[in-house]
Amino acid sequence: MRGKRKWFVNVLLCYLLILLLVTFLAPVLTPYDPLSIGLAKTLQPPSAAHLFGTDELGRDVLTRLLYGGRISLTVGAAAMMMAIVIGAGFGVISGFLGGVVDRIMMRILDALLSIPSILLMIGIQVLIPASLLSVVVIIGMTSWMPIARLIRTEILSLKGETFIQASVVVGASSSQLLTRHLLPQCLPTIIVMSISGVSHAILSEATLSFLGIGIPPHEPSWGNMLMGAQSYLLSGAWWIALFPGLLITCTVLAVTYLGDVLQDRFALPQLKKGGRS
Amino acid sequence: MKEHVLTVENLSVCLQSNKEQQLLDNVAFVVPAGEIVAIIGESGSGKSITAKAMLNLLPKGIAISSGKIEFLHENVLTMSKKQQQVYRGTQVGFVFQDTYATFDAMRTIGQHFRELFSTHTNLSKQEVKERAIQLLQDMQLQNAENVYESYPFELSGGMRQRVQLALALALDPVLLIADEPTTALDLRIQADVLHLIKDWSTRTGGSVLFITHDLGVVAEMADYVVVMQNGTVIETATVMNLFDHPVHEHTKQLLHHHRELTNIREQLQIVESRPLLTVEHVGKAYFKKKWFRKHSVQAVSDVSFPIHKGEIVGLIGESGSGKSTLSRLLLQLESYEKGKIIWHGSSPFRKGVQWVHQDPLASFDPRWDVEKIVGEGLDYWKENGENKKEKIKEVLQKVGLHEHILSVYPYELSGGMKQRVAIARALLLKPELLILDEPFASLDMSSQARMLSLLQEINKREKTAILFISHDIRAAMALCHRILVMEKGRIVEEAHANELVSSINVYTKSLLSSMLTLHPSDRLKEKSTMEENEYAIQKN
Repeated sequence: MRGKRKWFVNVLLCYLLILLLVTFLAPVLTPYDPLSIGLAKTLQPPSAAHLFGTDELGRDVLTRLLYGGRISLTVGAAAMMMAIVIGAGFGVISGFLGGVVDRIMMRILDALLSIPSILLMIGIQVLIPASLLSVVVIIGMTSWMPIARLIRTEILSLKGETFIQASVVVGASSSQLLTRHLLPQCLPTIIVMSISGVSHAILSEATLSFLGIGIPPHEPSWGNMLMGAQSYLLSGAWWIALFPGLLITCTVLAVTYLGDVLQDRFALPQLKKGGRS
Repeated sequence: MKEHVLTVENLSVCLQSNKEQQLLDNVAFVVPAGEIVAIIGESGSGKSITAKAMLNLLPKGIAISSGKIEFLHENVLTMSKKQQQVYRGTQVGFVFQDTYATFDAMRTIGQHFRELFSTHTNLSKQEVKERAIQLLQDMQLQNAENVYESYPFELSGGMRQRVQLALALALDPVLLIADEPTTALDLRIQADVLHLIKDWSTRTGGSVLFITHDLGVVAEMADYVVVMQNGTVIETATVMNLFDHPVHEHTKQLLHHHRELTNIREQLQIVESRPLLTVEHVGKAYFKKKWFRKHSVQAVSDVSFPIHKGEIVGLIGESGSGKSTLSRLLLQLESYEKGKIIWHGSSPFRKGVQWVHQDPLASFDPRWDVEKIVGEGLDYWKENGENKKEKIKEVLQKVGLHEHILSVYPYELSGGMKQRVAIARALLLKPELLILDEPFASLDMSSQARMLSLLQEINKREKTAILFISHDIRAAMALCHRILVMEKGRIVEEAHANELVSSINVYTKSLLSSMLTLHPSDRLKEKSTMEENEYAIQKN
């Protein structure tokens, strides 16, 4: 069981590494320009010249996928970073200070959480012009709340532990408590949340682009390729939709699974060695 | 010569995977009818394995390699399944240390009784209830009817132990096997449970096989004693002989540890007039919200006392008397509404007062190894030109630990070693006052004695004042110069250790009466005086 799982993890890691590599090296790998339109060869099925076919404007699907991967992955990573920084900061402050501050901060959080995030995204997007940065900001702004809540709970329960009090007695100040004991204890949670945050962000970007309010349509991203594909799916051009869809699914699955593995890795030393706790 | 209920001959037990690894080696002893036999030994000496072997209930991977266990002339090891069921169910009763794990948490006490009776008898539901309540009342449980309907978690540890005993004795067994039944309990409850077992034995003529690490319990209870070490029996004797003429070196050592734990400390001449710490009229209440009313519980009220330099002060009381709350107030871990706590030490408060918690493992960061844990204090109180690693090694040596444990995680250490790591961490900062919260709670008798001499040594060498918080009046009298007795959040008595014995305070007296005897010969005398006392109380 253990060996099998290790093998699977290696496959996933290779997949993600190759994905990063090929998107990074896209200009070298493909002879086409993702934006150039060739009306002579629209909606061509996969062939030797165009491995994944061409889309409705005659652009090479493979090329667009590679360039689109750059955007999708960047958005995923950047938005996740933003969500983690805001979320962890908010959660730590709220949990550590406690009392009235905690109560006020939690009510703000509840209010934000009560708005459906897709509605929030659309709302903000109307106010600022669509661009790569705006998509990152929007996804980051709308996905930090669950992280904050989780971190707050963790800090709250850790605060009451005996070993924290023991550190106080030995002379730790509040900031030392936070950096030496509380945050390292939260690290597994933060890492797992950020990993699943990446997949969430990739999906959100796809959703936004699919709805036509994310990345501007001429720029390739996996989400807006999917959107572009929908009207041609019925006329039999399956390749335009299939490949971006597959890539999104596989990437999100791989990232999520690796998050799970990482969570085990960061477990306490007594659990790690397979012993009893 | 009396008949033997249980005869064990040449019993050897080994690991199935490795036959060389002997857990028990040629163990032999007998349990005569109507007598109490105690098996004593340090943790890891094979006591519990012996008890499990008696029931033929050894864990998987451990097997009996040779020997014979005879119960009333019948070999336990060759019994059929059916016979074994009868043997375990009705002829032998057993009580374990862990009062929580022996119950099914999803069932009421009544259901436990019903299961027992329906397997082995054909009493009706109503009869079972009557019989169970009778048994529970025999165990001096108040409100037996309520207990019958309760779930295990609703009862206190002492109550659960009584219920366990009632279940064990329900089918009138011939033999009771008790594995450390009182180790986790308060002294007073311990005394009660011990008396219940003893009474049962004299009343019904049943035999008892009693497993313990505490010679005090042996002195109180046993007729015969079996001393075990490293899986072998090293000495078998009557209780009188054992205490008066021990033969084996290890037995002598155990007795020495026992004496160390029961020596009463002489009082200390206080030279310096200014105390190290003064507590003045401190009070603390907790609030419980119940609907719209606030319900307050006074945990500590109007407590005042000083602690002087180089003094060991004991704070004793039963669980729930507010000792731990007081210690947390002294450490400024919680705020208090009333009174003042004033620190007069020469170093800053946070450095000068250190703490050892009753559960050392919980007081260590689970991600840290011993070096980081012990050295934590130096990170906050940096001094120039100090070699941190050297200091840590030095302090480990002081508490009797080897430096190769520096990179070990605390959960890998034994109970005594964990406690030493906790003390090392506290000592690293050269505190002037050390607050120890139940430091002996999880240790066996020999480790307790070793810890006791370590504390005395620290106190002598470094002139560190110690506040020793415990429910164990015996340990407190052996360690402390001065003792404070706490009841329901108040200090009811303050006395020097050697004066406490002749105390006239009612509460202190009741605590003292639950102390185990020092020598088996004191037993009879004391019991008769106690009965007189009880009679007097009932009369009033």
